Amino acid sequence: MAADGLSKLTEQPVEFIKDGAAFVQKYHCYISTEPVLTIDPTEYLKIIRAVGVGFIMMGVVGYAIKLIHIPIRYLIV
Amino acid sequence: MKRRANAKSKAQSQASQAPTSNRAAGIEGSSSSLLKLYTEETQGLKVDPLIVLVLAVGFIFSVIALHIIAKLTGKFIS
Amino acid sequence: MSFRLIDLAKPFGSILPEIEGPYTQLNFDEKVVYTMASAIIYILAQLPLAGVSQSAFAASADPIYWLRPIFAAERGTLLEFGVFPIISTGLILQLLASLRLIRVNFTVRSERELFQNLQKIFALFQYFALTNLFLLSGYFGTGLSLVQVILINVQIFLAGGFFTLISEVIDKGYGFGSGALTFTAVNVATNFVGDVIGINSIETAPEVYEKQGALANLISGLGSKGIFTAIWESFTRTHLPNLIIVLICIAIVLACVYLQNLRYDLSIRSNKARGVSSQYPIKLLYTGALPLVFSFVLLFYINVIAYVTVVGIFNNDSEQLAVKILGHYTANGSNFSIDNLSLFGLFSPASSLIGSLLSPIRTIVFSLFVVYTSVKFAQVWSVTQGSGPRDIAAQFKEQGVTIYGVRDVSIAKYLKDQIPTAAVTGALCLAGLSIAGEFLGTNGRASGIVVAVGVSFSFLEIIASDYQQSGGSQNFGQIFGGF
Repeated sequence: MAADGLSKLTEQPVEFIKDGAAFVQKYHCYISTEPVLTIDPTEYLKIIRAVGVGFIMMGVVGYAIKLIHIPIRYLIV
Repeated sequence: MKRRANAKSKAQSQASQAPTSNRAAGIEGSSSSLLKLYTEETQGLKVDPLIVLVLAVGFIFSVIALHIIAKLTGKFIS
Repeated sequence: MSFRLIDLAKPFGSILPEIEGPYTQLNFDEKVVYTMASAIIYILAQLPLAGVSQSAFAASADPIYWLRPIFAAERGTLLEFGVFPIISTGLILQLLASLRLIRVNFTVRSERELFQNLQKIFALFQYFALTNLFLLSGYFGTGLSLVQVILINVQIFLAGGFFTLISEVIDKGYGFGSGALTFTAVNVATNFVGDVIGINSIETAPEVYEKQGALANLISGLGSKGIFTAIWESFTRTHLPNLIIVLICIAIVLACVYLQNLRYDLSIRSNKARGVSSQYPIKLLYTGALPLVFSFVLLFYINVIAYVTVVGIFNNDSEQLAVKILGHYTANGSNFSIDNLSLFGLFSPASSLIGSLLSPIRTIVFSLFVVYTSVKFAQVWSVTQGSGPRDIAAQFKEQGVTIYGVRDVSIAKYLKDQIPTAAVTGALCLAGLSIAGEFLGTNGRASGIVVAVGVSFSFLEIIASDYQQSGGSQNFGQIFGGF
């Protein structure tokens, strides 16, 4: 059983490395040809602000509710 | 013979063209970046969403009540 | 007619509770209210389980602590397993259907209904199965009475059922985007705020209390311990989040948003109007954070199996040969982890950077597992979920659009190269980010944040389009419009 598991363990990474090599080749030819990986810096800043504010808003509301748990826990435990 | 082979290959190509998800069939469902499970109207026991939310809060309070009962009577907890 | 998995759902069709869909499209404000109400109820439900003796429970430790953030699970509460059953069911069944391992004809309504009911039943079943597997392994304490066993089962199952329905409320269009993932995002955000400014005190050692939040701890320490000790301790404490972990988390948020913004621009032009050209973006994270979620679903299953076999069957007895091979759990505070080099130990990250450096085999195997499963998932998911190469080629054809330098007939083939490559690269980057976070000892926070940012980003896209449709005339709309 252990030997079986071991052969499976070795099989997967080998297959993965093959896949990875094929993928890297492909990736290189993309970089050299037309579609280019791009990013819009002003949009990035805008989105970082939006995601950040949204994240903190969600978190603060959630944490405020979690604070209600403290007296409840005190009451029941 | 040839016709049968043709029909078979046609059926196969149809099978490989068949949609593999709700979205692929043109209906609301999981997208490539968001997971959705329940988007279809089924013939189940219909419940209003507000009622579910209210019942969920009721359930939470019933658990709190259970805690208080357990504390007062010393039951359930060994 | 052979047996099909979705036929399992047939007998349950009429008794499964089902949310009534909205008759009309809800407006922006209503959606915000439903989403917030669902999220608030989720946080509210993180109550301790009744019927569990707290002292006996404290004696057992948590074998899945590092898997909790990504599934919004909180130990010892009604949400012991969070939304894991819902997410895992959805991902696995839909993936199997995409691979045609489950035969579902999505063009027929009755089949879609059966498939949906199957997802619901399977999610509920997993709540039941996980609860009882953990009960049998002694997670909730040993020597429980029948009443306690029933109470624990009923509470976790009912809570699971309610949140299955509430996620359906959001899925059906009362809220934004995906129900189950919303809970993950809110829970991660909540815990992150708690980790930074949490002012509640936690007993770290007998009679020693520390603030949960790293920043709150620093500020309270400045007054009582002196500047240098306070700063040193706030960066190095191990039982609660320290400032290094907070900084790593912030870095991960920034990196995640950066990756989300990366895209391949395809130059397209219209066939109808001459000279009209624009860019069609293909996002690098074509499948969002779902590949990472999928990897963690698999890791969750492996770790549950590990816990049940090692602790439930072999009693975690380090003398036994099976435990030596499979792995031996050691308690570290309330965390239960496999620290020796063993079969199951390979499928969890070490709990600190030093730990990851000391066991390179484990580090490598764990990374390869996450990367491999993420990539494989992205490959399949990116082409099967209705925005694959064929779908987009059809869309282009309908709108009379072509890509520069590509003949009309070969657009599908061209996209078949582009889309999975983008998806795979994206999945690889996110997996790398999450693994890096885990090795720095964030105990699942990094992966949670990767998923939460991915989900927030999708929300942002939905909210932006909804907001444009509603013309920004509504109350919440105006608030969001401000950002």
